[in-house]
Amino acid sequence: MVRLERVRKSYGRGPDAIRAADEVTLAVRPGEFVVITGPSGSGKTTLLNLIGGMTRPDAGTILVAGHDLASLSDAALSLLRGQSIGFVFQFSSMLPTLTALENTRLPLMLQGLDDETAGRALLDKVGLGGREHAYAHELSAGQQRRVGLARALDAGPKLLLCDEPTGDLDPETEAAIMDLLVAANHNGATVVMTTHNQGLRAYGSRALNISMGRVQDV
Amino acid sequence: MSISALSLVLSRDLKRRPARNLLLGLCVAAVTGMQVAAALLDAASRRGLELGLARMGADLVAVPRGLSDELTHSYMTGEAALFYMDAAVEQKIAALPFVDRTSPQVYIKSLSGASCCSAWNIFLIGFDPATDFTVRPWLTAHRETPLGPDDVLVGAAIASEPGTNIKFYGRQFRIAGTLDATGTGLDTTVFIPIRAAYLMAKESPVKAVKPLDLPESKVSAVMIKLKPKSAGGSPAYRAAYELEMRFPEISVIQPEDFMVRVQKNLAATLGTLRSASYAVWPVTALLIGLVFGMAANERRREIGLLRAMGATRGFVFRMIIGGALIVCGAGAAAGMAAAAGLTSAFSRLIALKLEVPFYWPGMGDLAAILGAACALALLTGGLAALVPAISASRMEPYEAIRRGE
Amino acid sequence: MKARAVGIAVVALGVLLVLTPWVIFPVCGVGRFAPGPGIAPGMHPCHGTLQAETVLGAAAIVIGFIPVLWPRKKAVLGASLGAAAVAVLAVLFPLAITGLCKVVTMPCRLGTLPALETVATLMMLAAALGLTVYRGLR
Repeated sequence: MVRLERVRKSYGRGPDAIRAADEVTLAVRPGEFVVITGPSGSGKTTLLNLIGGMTRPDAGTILVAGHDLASLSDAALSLLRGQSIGFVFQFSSMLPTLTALENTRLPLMLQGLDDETAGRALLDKVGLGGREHAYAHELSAGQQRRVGLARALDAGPKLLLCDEPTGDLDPETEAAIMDLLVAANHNGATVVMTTHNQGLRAYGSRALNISMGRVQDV
Repeated sequence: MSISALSLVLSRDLKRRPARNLLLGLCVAAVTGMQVAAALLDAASRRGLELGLARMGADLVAVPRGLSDELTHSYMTGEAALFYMDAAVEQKIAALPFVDRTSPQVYIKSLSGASCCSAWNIFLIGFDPATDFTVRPWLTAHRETPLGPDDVLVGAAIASEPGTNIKFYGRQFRIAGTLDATGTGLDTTVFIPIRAAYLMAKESPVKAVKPLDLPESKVSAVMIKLKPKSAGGSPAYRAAYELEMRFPEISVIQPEDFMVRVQKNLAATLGTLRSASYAVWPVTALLIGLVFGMAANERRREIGLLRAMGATRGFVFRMIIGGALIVCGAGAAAGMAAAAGLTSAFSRLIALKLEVPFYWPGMGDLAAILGAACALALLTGGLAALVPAISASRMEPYEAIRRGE
Repeated sequence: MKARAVGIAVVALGVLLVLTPWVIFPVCGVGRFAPGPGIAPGMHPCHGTLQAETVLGAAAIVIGFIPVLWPRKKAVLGASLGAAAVAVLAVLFPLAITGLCKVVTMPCRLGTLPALETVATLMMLAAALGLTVYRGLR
């Protein structure tokens, strides 16, 4: 599903440049649930964004679902993201001017499709049935994170990229979010998740560690 | 194309900052309104002048020497011009080889309007039905009905029905017809047969509150129709010169004199409107660019999230440009409506104060004026938001999210 | 806040409605337009319109103050419907009920009538805005 070969990404220039990804070579098989742990600033977020085509590497090759991201045009890359990749962010990623249901339906709408019933079902699944018309400021942090997850699942993605999806949440909500990710994985999605919480490694089928831009198996 | 996603995101974004969008819209409305008002004023005065001159029918008008301005003023405003000259001058003019026909007119100011307020006087024009070529062709309803000795024709703005009576200087007249509107002072005049006008003056010491001094040997103006060049006629300017040389007691007015006066009267107002519009326009464009640039900056994270969901660069571009176009379009629509509405409602007052004719432009001219104003507003909005739109759409999605934190 | 804004708009337009035929574009025989010879103030047909607009303007001011003092949903609805009614009547009176002078060059026709039409249009827009605010209020 995902293959990275000698991928490099740095920020800044000269001796003060930060290597967020340093010669990363990695393969993720379809159906895997990969948990990547590492401290803050280790390059977790950059790695996920490289895989999702949200930023381009300085060097190396990235293949997602058989596509070489470097060879794709912006339109093709956007289509790949819209159809095949779902993002779950560490911050509240609801668009503040849209309701929970509208946020959830947005990925399909961006492709010219729409399924309100499916959107409602997703919100039900994440435990927000009845809050379809709530805006971000009317929901708690945990509820907003659930909307983000529902939205990530809207287009039925093959690959879920989750950047610290349970950061700052209470243990109960954290467990609920992780159960939803496991359920998505069991339904066929490949999940790549980053976290600083080593205790969450147990949810995955494979654990990796990242430090100063370098990835290794645990 | 994901139009429903675009319209959903756009409509919600516009509601997000209502005060800012309203302010921008008002700026665009003000500039568009000034432009449209100037264009409407210009087009309406031209149309009124065309209709008025066509109504007059005359190629030239002879008045007592030095009183051309008085006549053009009363023609624009409908205020009575009161001057007289020897009636014999008409025959002398008619005898000239380049003159086809002449018809005399006598100008009178009424003491009172028949059944309404008396504070404002009506301009009465005595005309000769036998020789007249100015007024008759323009009767709206009674074209072939011969006029009785006490039948009068009223301008379009006089609120009286044909068939009703009207009294001037104690003498009763019957309204035989209403003339087509011209947008000039002619719309508030009453045309009386010249014989009846002289009789009215003769009887006024007995019948009227105040006598009217108008001897039959006097006329106010002579309407002149020139022969075509093929029949030995002269161009109007040459004929006018010839007449003034031969008859030093008269001044001769050409249609161009009316045009010059209208342009002179309009110059200051049009100049002010247009200058203000041209001065404010670049400021408005700059404001649009700045505001949408700021908005794009504020929404970096959202833009990054949309890109993560599959939105293309084109979507982001259309989102920002679309917002600018909607604000400018709404502002332009409000400005056009306000300008057209106010110009139309106050048209008579504007015409009176500026001393210009005013007749609402035809659909073609109106569409052109409004279309041009709308196009300019949209073009300005689109161009002003272009840089922020391009900048936002080109940003890497991850970069947008990082910078938006 | 929005409810009060609607009320303030209606009050302001009510004040404008009163001032228009008295001061801004006075009718014949009022203000800067001295009565004509032999005509006493009040004998012009437009005097009836003057009185009607004064009453309508005062009514709009009272109606507008209600949501200002009591910013509730019903008050906004009442003010909006009231403003709409005032707007319609403000135009009906000069055109059909009390009337104006017949000669078009009289001040009441030249300035007062178009000004009243303008204020009535703005009043109707305020009413529409009020109804939008009413729908959005809880």
